Amino acid sequence: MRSKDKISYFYDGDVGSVYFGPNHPMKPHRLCMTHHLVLSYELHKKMEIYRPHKAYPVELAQFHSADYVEFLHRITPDTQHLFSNELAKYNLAEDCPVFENLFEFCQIYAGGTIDAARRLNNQLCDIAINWAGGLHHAKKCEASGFCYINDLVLGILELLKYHARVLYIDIDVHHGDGVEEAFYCTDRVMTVSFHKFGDLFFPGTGDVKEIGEKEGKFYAINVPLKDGIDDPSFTRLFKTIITKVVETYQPGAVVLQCGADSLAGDRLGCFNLSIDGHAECVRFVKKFNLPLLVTGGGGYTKENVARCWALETGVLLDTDLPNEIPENEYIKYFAPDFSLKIPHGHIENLNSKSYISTIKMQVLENLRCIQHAPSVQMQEVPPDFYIPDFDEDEQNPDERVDQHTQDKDIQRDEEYYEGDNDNDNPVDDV
Amino acid sequence: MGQNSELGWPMVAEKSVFGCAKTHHKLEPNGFSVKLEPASEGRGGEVEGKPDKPSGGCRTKNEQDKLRYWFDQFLRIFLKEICAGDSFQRNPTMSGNGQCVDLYKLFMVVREKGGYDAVSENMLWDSVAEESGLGMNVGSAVKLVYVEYLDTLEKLIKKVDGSKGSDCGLSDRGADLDGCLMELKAKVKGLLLEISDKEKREEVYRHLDLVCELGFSDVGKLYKTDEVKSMVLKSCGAMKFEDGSILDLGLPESKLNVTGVVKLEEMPGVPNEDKRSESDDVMIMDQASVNKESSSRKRKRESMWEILNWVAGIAKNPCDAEIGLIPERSKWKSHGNEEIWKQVLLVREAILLKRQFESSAEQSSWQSQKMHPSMYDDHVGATYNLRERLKCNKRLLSVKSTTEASVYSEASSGTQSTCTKATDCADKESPDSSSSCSEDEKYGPKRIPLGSTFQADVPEWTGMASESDPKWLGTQTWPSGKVNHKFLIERDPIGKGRQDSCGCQKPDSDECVGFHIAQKRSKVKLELGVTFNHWDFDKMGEEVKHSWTGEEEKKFRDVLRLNPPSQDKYFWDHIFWSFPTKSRADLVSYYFNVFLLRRRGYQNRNTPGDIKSDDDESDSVPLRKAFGHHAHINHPAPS
Repeated sequence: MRSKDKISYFYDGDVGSVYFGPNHPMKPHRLCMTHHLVLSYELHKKMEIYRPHKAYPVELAQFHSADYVEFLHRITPDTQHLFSNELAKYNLAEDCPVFENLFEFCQIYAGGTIDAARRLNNQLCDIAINWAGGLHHAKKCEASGFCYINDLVLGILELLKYHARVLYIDIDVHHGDGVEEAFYCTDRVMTVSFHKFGDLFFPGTGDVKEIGEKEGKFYAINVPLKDGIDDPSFTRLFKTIITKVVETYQPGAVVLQCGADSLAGDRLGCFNLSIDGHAECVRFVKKFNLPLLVTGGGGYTKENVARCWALETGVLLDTDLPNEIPENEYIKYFAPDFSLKIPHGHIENLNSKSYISTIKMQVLENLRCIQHAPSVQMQEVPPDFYIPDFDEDEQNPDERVDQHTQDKDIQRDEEYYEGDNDNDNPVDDV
Repeated sequence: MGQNSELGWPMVAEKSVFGCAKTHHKLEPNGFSVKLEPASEGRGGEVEGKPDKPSGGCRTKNEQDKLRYWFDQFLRIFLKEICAGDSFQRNPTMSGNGQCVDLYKLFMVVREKGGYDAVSENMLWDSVAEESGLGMNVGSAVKLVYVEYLDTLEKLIKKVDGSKGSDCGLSDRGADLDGCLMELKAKVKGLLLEISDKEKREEVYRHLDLVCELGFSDVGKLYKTDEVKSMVLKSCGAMKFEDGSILDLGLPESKLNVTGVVKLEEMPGVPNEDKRSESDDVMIMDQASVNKESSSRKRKRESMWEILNWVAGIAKNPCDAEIGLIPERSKWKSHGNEEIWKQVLLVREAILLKRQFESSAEQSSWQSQKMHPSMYDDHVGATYNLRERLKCNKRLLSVKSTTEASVYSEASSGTQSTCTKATDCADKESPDSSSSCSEDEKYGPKRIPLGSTFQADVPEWTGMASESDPKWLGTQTWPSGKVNHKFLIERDPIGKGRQDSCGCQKPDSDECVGFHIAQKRSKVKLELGVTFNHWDFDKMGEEVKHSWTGEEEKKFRDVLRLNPPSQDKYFWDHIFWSFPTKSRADLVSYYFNVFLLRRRGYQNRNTPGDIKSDDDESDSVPLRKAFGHHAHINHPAPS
């Protein structure tokens, strides 16, 4: 069985050897493990895999200030002692150390998200996946929370070239502050972030009261949660809010940040989500049948990150993965059960029913303000989407595909599996 | 006047390769040997024909170009050899606007303003950028370029200046710079020389460099006027110990258009000892002595012999006690500049120190130090420690972030609810966030700052899709055209999980697991074809160990055992020192791909209740502490 959607998956083996430094919880090696797991489940046979281009500094400067990009480009561990003022200015210390190949690392993950957005724009795929991306804390002029370049903002800017409105959804345990801040004053991007809030949890923003300003007022949505939220309450809340958001906002494309630190047992997170609960959000967003850009994000327990993103790759490919993890180079990391499922978290759920319903009411109330004052842009591009029911019945594969995609589909059906695609002309032939 | 060209170095015209054997060996195959432009030929006449320029400030364009060309060449080789950097681009650009940077001009402008430190102190980078024609408000960008390409050079030149005790003012542009560079080059060459002595002892290299000399004499020509008297006089000797006895020595006796190698035999008074030198090494020694005006040749020769003896001795035995009668480094200053051994020693010491530095386990820097600290900063050296610097930075940073946070919260109090109020509204059940807010504002609730320095520039939607560059869509690596689909056909059903049972004698034993992994691996390899390598799969998993010797693996384990994270030791520091020849990427790769996997395998079998997949995840090192966070912050940063 093959997915009806065409999936582009971005991977560059070079990120695996990036090392943030001793005792740093961010371990890009998790991306290697994820990729291996994806391959051991043979998911690569159902999608196209691309090596992203390394984003040029000028591309990064589409969002970031040129001097910041320039600084990232030039700074090395050997020269950083000469730049203590600049390091402080750009917040490059502690959480965001300067390490070898820092800039190349940024170029790769940002290039992946940008490429992904461009492929979506050119209708070369329906879903694009870049697990290396999703570094949602980076600000215009400074690094923050392990993030140097905000690939999500760059990807969204790219999508805005083709779409009047882009929806950004963030299920990382941390608030997606960098993306929210970047689009705080525009109604062309709606940001929705589900995150832990309070107790001085990083980054400190993301209160339900933060709703955007100026034209962007009501176009930033924050769902602040407390420790220990579990699958049922999280997915119910997620589905309710996202359904309403899509219905109201009618985005042309969706960007989904799948930070895996919201899973139970994460080294830095404090939620109780299982991998299935996490993936359920991905499954739900996929059902809107909108162009979808999926990125990674946080996730600091390597094995669980790999499990989660491999499973979600499967979800996006409409493939159920067996619980038994197949042999692969990193099989030993998945002991003792060698299974996809992870143990349930033991953190007490501090989200009372009344708390969750208060949050939900406030968010929905803010959304109603949009309905009462629809932006002019609303009418311009009629959306082409499908709001799924909560029950998961199979959809007709051809339901929403236009002629262009259909043509391509036919071609794909015949050739794709055989690996006959002409590598030189991916744009035309694929 | 014209006599200056006489100072020109002997040239091995047809084989002008810079530096010692090592350079020669490395560069020539790449066609890297540097040729001077034709303009440098036919020296005397052409130069004489030109009007003399009174100062470097108003040289003709041609001269400027020449200088620039020469400067670029020098810098390229300098960076390559000394800084071991292979990143030198011909035209470094600023990533902001892609503009080319004229390094020569930049260097001169900074020099004019008193050097890196002065410029930094007086916040002159913006004006430096402007004067270098790089535009406004790109000061920090220019500073970066400077540090990357030119700072080391400046530091070295300063050092030379210092050791010379010369009165060359920094503003005394051209000639002075040349002098400095020449001395510098002497040192550089000395460095290279020693490297080659050590590493390539048995090799004999026939071709001597001298390209830089060409450059120097060329420059010398340009300042052939009176002001050149401030130039450092060049006494240049190219010694070539080849097959034991041939010594080529070029001295200024050579005539105006010296283009050949002056053979030692032509020189009077060459002591036999040196002729008899049994060294197989090629040695090049440029002695740029510090005499002003025209020095007596005799004296020069005398200093030459001293130098020769020194170098010969050092070449034979760098650690010879007899040569060791040099005072402590700290006392060097008390010796006059005329002491010739001083410069040689500077070179020697730098090299020896560098070696120690690399191998000593007591050194505390885990940085891959490309350059000995003493070469650019005297006070670092043995105690050079990145962590200290980081701590400094952290202090700076925390000050900064606190002020920023308070600025934000002040700003917020005006318009909407204050941070604490906001929290309380959001959640009445929340633990007392107002008190914790005051404790540390860093992660406390704060407002989203507004302004062009924070928000992205989002263009108005025009109703039309604008062009997006279709060129950069990534490179398809799978499915690849070269996949052998014979192997695809016999695949297992997609997504099939691991089989519960296998036919192995001892299921789940180390051998069994290893066997299945290898089996799967070769299958994947067959299927993927070249894509296997594109994805760096050949550098993943326990395969990585094949590039390691058993001894190295044992050493790696030992280092980790000696530095358990539970004792708050940064084992990575020790790892990096213990394997000076391995790159950090190799070490990290080994750690994740082999070491951790193996340990995990062991834990899986023997202590399934106590599994840690990362050393630095150890509970006994509180993460906050290791991270420089305060203990009361529950959840540090994240992505």
